[in-house]
Amino acid sequence: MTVSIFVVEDDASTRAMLVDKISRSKRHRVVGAVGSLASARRTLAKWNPDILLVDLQLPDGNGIDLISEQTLRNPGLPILVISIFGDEERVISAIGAGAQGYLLKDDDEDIILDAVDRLLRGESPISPSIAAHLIHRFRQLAPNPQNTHPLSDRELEVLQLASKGLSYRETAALMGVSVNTVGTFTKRIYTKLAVSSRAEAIFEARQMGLVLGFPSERHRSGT
Amino acid sequence: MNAIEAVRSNPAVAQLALLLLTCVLLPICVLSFYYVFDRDVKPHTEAVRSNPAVAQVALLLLACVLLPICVLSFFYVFDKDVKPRTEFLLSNFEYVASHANEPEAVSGEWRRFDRSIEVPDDPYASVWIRTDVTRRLDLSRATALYIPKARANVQVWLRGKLQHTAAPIEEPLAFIKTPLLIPLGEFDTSVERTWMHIRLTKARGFLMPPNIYLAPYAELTTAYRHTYWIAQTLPKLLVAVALTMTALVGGLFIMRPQDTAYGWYALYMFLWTAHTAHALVDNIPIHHELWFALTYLSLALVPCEVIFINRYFDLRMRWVEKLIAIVTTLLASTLLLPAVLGLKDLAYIATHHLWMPWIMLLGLFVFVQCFMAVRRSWSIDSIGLLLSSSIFVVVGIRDHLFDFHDFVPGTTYYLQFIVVIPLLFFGFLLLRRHVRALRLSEKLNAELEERVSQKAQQLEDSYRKLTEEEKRREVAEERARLMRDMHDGLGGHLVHALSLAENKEDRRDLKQALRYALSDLRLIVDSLAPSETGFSSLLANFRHRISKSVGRAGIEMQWTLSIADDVSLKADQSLALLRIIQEATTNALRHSECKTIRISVSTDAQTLEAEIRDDGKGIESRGHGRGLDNMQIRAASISARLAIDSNKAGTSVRCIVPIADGASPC
Repeated sequence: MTVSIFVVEDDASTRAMLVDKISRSKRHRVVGAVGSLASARRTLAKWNPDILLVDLQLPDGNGIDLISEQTLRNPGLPILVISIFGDEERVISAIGAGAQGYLLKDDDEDIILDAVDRLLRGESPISPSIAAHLIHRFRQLAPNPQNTHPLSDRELEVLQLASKGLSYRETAALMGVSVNTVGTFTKRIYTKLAVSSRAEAIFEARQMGLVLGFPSERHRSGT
Repeated sequence: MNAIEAVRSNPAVAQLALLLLTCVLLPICVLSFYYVFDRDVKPHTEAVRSNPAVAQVALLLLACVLLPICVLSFFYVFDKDVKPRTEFLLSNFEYVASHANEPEAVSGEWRRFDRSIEVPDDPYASVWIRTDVTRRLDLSRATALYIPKARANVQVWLRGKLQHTAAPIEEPLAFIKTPLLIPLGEFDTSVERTWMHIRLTKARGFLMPPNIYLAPYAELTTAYRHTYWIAQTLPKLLVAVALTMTALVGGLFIMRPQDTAYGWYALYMFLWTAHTAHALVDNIPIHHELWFALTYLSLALVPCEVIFINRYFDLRMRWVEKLIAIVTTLLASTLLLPAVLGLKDLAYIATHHLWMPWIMLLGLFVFVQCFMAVRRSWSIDSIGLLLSSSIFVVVGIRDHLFDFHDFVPGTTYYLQFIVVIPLLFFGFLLLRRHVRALRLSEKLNAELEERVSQKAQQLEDSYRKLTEEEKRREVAEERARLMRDMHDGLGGHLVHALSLAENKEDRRDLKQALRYALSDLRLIVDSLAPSETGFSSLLANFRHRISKSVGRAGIEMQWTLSIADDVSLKADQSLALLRIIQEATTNALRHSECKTIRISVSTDAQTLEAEIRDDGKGIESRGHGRGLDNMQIRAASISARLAIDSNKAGTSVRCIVPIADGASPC
């Protein structure tokens, strides 16, 4: 059984390179490769891929919008962000929108395919910069000690070790778990970020009066 | 002339006009004068000093003459001596000097009395005068005696019976200056001749036959009231005002003792009111000799004025002041001592041959001072002073004549009215000085604020310039560093890759060169992290990247980090050290055929040490490569020590970097 992959990347040579790298594998197949948001929206549903690779800078919009749409429409679809190094903040925004991992444009083919396979198994990649950013984000989400931290202690430990540059293997050895478990921890962390980001967005929207509060809340505030 | 006569003949209109003028018009004049001439803010010392033109001086001298004449004409017009009808004036007086206490006891020959006579030396020796009033008394109506200017103590007898005593004839002997209106009692009409005897008693000086009117009561009241108002009520009012002014100026002096001019002015005004009061008091409270001595002493107002003018106009005549003070004190004591001791002859000499000449001399000196003040500063102050002095002299002469000669018209002394002029004038000067001081302080305040804000602005500007300069310098330094860094690593790799591509060499070499370029670019990006980012964070990125390649090559990598999170290096140090570590690790990966790579990083207080050790075949066997030279150059550029130790059991690259004080947070 082959894994069907859909690529959204505006740079033609990068797109060709990615398609080329993926096509060398027998187990992976590119079912669609488009260069714009519009054509992605048009053709994505038709191909129904197993995994979606999205570049963030597209000529007709932001890849993050596509990620949000697909997360709502097809919550099970794993999404990888195609990024370049030094672009951690946008990767984190994409994760907040629902992406579950990232790959670098200059990664070797085996790393790319490895990332795809791991994602399908429920494991997400992480880098020290992203881990450091996430620690910062979650600390902002839980400003006081009374609030239960959205991350469990183990998840936090994974982030801290990742931020020090330790590989999954090293982290797993230190924590006494399997390498796969570290990957699933990471994916869970990403999911929590997406959930808290959505909650944050709703909260902000309510603050601005875009979304109505619950009736009971309105009743309370009315008395 | 008719209009003037109309005003003169109507005392009520004259009084009203006088009151109106003093109370309303003069202040208005002074204020308008003030607003016309005192617009600009200038400290007193900066008063106009330009030499006045000849025309101006001539005009001033003319004003000195004309103004007193105007004042006298004003008095002439408004101070009509309101008299009863001439038919009521008694005449044909006879006099005799006598010690007698009643008319019957008078002995001696009665003589015609039409000129002034000298008062006998004995204070109880009075002058008796008599006249026949037989046909003058209309006994069917209430009759009265009216004496406008007695200038002596008065006792009135009719038909040998005492009618009225103005004041007791005893020490201290009264000196009646109030107009007298004496109602007469009933009379026995059967007596054929009716003699009126009047006893005049005066302590010293000359006696003149007073004007005495005998008329029905109703005929005399108008004249009496008018004279009383002019001679008593109005002067008392003015004295009260002058005293208030004195208190104000004196208070100002007490609060600001450095303004000595005001102290002298207060003393001057006080002596002035004391001197004026002498003309208002009939029943003197002390012995007449001492009273007269004090009256003369109050003329010490003239030396006070001299000193005041000297101080106010800053004429700088301290020795003259001292001389005046000493002489005045000496003469004052010669004035007072004989009076206290009762030495009449000595008192007379002291008064008339020492004191009065001295006062007159000083009065002349005031004029000299006025001219000096005008020469010194052609200003309202000095001109006003000169003009008022000229008025004073002329009015003073008039009053002196009024005391002794009947041909001088008018009801009373005028100097007591003239006091209004210095009152208003110096009140105006005080007001102006106050306003000037306020304006000046406001102006200085504003200037100060302006200067402070300018200074603050300058400071802010220079601070901003400084920070901008600093920022520009930092940016320039950073840019220079970035250029150098890119040129050193990235540029070299790209040039190498270009040459490989041109020579159509092995694509794997080309790919390798590009990978090197990309790795170096990553290190550069890492080193651009904020300066507070610890070196361990930079190292973590490298570790993450390298671990992917290491894992695929089947080599074990061991990390030993004993470095705190907050230890940071300068950007160029970080980059150079990361490059050295990357170069050493890559060399080990590619060439050493090792099984394990150990990277350890540790710090102590002054240094950061990084060691990359492999268990491969060593460098010696493959020669001294370009990579090692690069590492040495990079270490030297950040003053780090690089030690490469290689043998067949492996290679160790150790780099020791000094931690700068500023770059390592405590």
